[in-house]
Order: sequence, then C-alpha cells, then structure tokens
Amino acid sequence: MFPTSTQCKYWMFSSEEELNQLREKTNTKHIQAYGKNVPEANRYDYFLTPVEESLMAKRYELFLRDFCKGFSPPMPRNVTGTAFHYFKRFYVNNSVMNYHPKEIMVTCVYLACKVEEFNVSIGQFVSNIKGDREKASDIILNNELLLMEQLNYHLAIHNPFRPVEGLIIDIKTRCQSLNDPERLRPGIDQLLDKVFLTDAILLYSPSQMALAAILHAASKLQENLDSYVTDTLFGVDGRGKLEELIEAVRGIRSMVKMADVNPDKNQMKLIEKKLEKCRNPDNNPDSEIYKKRMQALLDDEDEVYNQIMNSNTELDNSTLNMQAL
Amino acid sequence: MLNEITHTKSRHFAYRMELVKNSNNYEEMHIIGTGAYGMVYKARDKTSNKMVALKKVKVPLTDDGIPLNTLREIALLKQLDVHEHPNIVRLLDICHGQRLEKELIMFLVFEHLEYDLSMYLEKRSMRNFLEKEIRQMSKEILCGVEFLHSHRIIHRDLKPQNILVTTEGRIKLADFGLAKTYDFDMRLTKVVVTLWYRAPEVLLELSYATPVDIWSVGCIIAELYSLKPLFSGNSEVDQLNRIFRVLGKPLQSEWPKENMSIRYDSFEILDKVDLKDVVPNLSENGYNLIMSMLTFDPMKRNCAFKALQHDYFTEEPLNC
Repeated sequence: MFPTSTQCKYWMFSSEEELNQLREKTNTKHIQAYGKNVPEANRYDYFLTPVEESLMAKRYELFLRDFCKGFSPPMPRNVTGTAFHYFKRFYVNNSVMNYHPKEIMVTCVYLACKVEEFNVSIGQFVSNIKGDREKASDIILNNELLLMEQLNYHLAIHNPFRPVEGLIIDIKTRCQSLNDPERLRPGIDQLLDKVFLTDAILLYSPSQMALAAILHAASKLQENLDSYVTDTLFGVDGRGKLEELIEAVRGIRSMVKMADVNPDKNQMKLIEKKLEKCRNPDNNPDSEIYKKRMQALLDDEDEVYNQIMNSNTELDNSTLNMQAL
Repeated sequence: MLNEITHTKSRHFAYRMELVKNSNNYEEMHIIGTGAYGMVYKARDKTSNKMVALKKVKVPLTDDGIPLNTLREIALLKQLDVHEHPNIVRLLDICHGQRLEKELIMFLVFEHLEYDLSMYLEKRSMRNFLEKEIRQMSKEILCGVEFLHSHRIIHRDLKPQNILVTTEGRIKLADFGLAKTYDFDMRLTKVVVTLWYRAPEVLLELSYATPVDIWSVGCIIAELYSLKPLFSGNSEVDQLNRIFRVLGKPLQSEWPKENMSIRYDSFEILDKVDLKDVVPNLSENGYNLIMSMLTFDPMKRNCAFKALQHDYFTEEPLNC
C-alpha cells in the first residue's frame, strides 16, 4: 500500500524547487563545515557549485543505469528502480563532495539487491565491477550502514512496475477500444527507463508514473486512452481528482523529455577533476586519514581510535582546509 | 553480581555510543528488560527530553554484510510504523553502533511505557479486573495481533512482558518483527525463554504460522481472569502435559506424523480438569472464545479477525 508507506510519508517532495533548495542547502552546509578558511568569494573555485553537484549526481545516475543493465546475472527491474530511489534520496541530504557518487552508486545497487531479494553474494556482485574488486567490496560493505542510516532505514520502495501491470490488466478487461494492449510495452519501458533519471520519482506516486508511461506509449502508437482514463478509470466519483492527475502526467512527461539532454563530456571531466581535489579525505578510501582510521577500527582499541579522532580534528582545522588555498 | 553485569554492560554501551552519530542523542539510564535476544534500556532522548526504550539488537554479519532478512525486517518495521496503529508500540528511531568484524549492534528506539501487562497483573494480584476491563484489554490485544497478521508478521513471543500498558490502560504490543534476525536458537543472552504462552506446534518444533499468536492470546485472556498463568510448564514436555490436562489429550489421529521428537505415548493424563474450574467467573461467551483460540490443531484455531467478531465482545458485561 503506497499511501501508508514510508516513501509516501517521508520521501515525496512538493516540487522541483523544494528539492533544489534542499540540495543547495546541503551544498552550503558542506562548504560551511569544510571550507572555514576559504574566503567567501573564492569558495566555488575550490568547491563544487550546487549545479556542478547535480551534474555529477546525474552523471552517476547514468552509470548506475548502465551498471544495472550490464549486470550478470540479469537484474530484475525493481532492483534497478530501488537503487535509483536510494541514490536520489541519499544526495538530497548529502553532498557529492562528502561521499563520492561512484562509491554510493554501487552501494545503492548492492543494498537494493538485498532488499528486493535478488540474491547475489558480494563476490558475485563485485565481479561486475572493473578494477580492484577486493577494494570495491570493502567500500560497499563499509558504506552499507551509512547508506541505510542516511535513508533513515526507509528501505521499502514502491516502484511503478506493478501499477503498470495492474493498469494493463485493467485496460485489457475494461477498455475494448484498444486492440492488443501488449503493443504498449515498448513505449512504457521507454518512459520508465528515463523517468528514473529525473526527479519525478521523488515527486510523483508510482501509479502516476505508471499511468504517464501508458499514456506516453499510447500516444506513440497514435492511440487515444483519454476516455478510458476519464470515464472508466476515474468515473463520476473520481472527477474531482482528474485535474490533479492530468497535471501529474503532464509534469512527468515533460521531466522525461528534459532527461534526454546530455551534459557536455569535457565539462564533466573538469568537474570530476575538481571533485577529486575537493572531496572529503575522511571518506576517501585512498586518503591517508581514511586508511589510518580503518586500521584503528580493526585494532578496535578505544585509545587508538580516540587518538586518531583527535588528530583528525587537528587535521580538519589545519591542513585539510589550507589545502584549499 | 547483577550490578557488576549492569555496570560493564553500560560501559560497553557508552563506548559504542560514542562512535555513532545519532545514537549520541540518547542518554542511557538503566536496563528495563533483559529479553532473550538482547537488552532493553530506559533512556532519555536529549533533544525532546522524553523517555524512550532503547532496544539493543545484535545483528550477525556475514561476508555479504548486513543479512538480507534484517534489512527486510527493518524496512517492514519502518513501514508498519507509518500506520500509527493504537495498539502497536511506536518505533521512534533506529541507529547503529560500530560495525565489527562479525557483528553489528543496532539500537531500536521505541516509545517508553512505564508498565507492561505482567507488572499490571502483579499489581492487581489482590483484586480481580472488572469484566469490562478484561474485555477491553483482550480486544486491544487482538486488534494489535490482527494488525500484525494482516501485514504478514507473526509475533512468535506474545506474553504479558511484551504487552505494554499505557497510564490510561491502553494496550500496545511490543517486541515483534525481527523474528528472522534472531532465531529461536540464536539467543543473545542466556535468559530462559518462557514456555507458558507457546502453542503446541512450537513446543513440538513443527512448522508454524500466525495461529501461534492466537494461542498465546488465548492463554493471556485466561490469565486476565484468573491472575495466574494458565499453563506454567518448566519444560516442553511438562508444558504439553499441563495443556493436555486442561484441554484433553488430542486424538492419536490428530498427533503430527512428521519427524516427532516427542512421542504421543509419552503423555498420560490422569487428573483432567476443566478450563471453567481453572478460570472461574468466565462467561459462556468468554469460555467459548478462549476455547476457540486453544485448539490443538493450528488449522482449526480461531484467527484474530474472526475472534474480534466473537459474541464475547458485544455481550452485556456481567459483573461491571
């Protein structure tokens, strides 16, 4: 039941503006915490701007999609959908400068596999990753908890795939005017593939996205389902809600259209480089601070741990921020 | 000795707390419960200054990280809480402790209630409850159970200790939903789990489902009348003996066939008593309801939804 889900209660935002404001706040908060010594005027020479952060997140959403598509064994769609939700939720309240999206991306997919009961071992999972697999599995297992916490343990995701099936069955039984509703499938898949790359999943309910996908598919086939929606699906009782729904469908379809615009590759490379410099070394597995802390945790000694924490604080106040200048 | 244990536990606890961002928000005060699967602490939420119940759950880690079952159960607990069901304890927060090599401590933060039903019963040991009070409590317990069952959750360990009572006398069920995270055999502490509310199929180690909770509720309603446990066995066999003494031994044909560790012939009931004698002042409807919840065959046992429609809940109170 979507209306009584954590998704509906905690992760549905009112508008794109609200989302962008939250992300800007996240960006500002990060810079305030880590850029105390950077003059206000130059802060964006070193740190990513909110727009650059969004571009980075978007870039890794594309990677997420491709990673899931190429995953072996083949991954059910709801795993991919759930991973997208996790990824987007994570970066509403976290800066890409604090946690690098390449690490969060794979962690989201890994967590989604478990929650959606797509059983793959960590070994199987990282065999889909190029490069140092042992390091990758360490990163994933270390980030798993962080991710859960940042999702506030709201792990159950309602994806649009089930509502799509429901609507197709309904069309087959109650909408005789459309012959062979199965023809809608390619158009539906096309829209749903793209909808995950937009903020629509944080703004609209799964069934609204499902309906948008079906109407998109119908219009591609030059079929018209308007009377099915207004008369059959909504009927007299639902009249009052029709306006809102039409608005939602329109909103989803226009967001999907915008998703086709791909960012400039050279620009992306520059932002990647900028991020490499300004990312928080505390959470960078390649940094010295991180390695020391991991070692301390392995030793599991209060003293060592506190020592590192103290020296971290010193570092925070000195080198870390001075590097910026 | 107990102080010592408490002390070291708290120190251990405090240390873990330091490492965690948001469990810092809770100041642990003292242990309020030592369940089979972990400790429950009374704690103070530093932001709201309210009391909370902090349940510490030890999650075993595998090579694959946090077990799938735990993730799904946590997701479900969060999802359930959205309903804010009046007879289910609120889950306020979840936080985690340090991740160790083989385990992870998680803290489930629940609303704190001063009393549970066992304390409530103890307080009342002198004076019986009024019929209408029992009726109301039974109804609320069943409402909570019905809610859990409709969300495909089996409580598995319903007993007066984890049925909480608010100052207004409202019932709230606690301690459910992590059944797969900690199995019956995977106990965190050496506390002996009470058998008193266990259904026969659990005692016989057979497969079980939602009817196990109905059995427990049947035992608890009887206890609300008599103010003492209906079947207080001290071993599986003793527990079954006590059950059969009141309800009669099931027929040989009803005895489960699958790999039974306890044999049918091991029970010889000589001193049979009637439920009406064990639980006096029970109305006819009350008797029927309890008996419908205490059938040996789980398939024939009443369910929460139907039990709530029983005449018992609509008849005129007899002694109020």
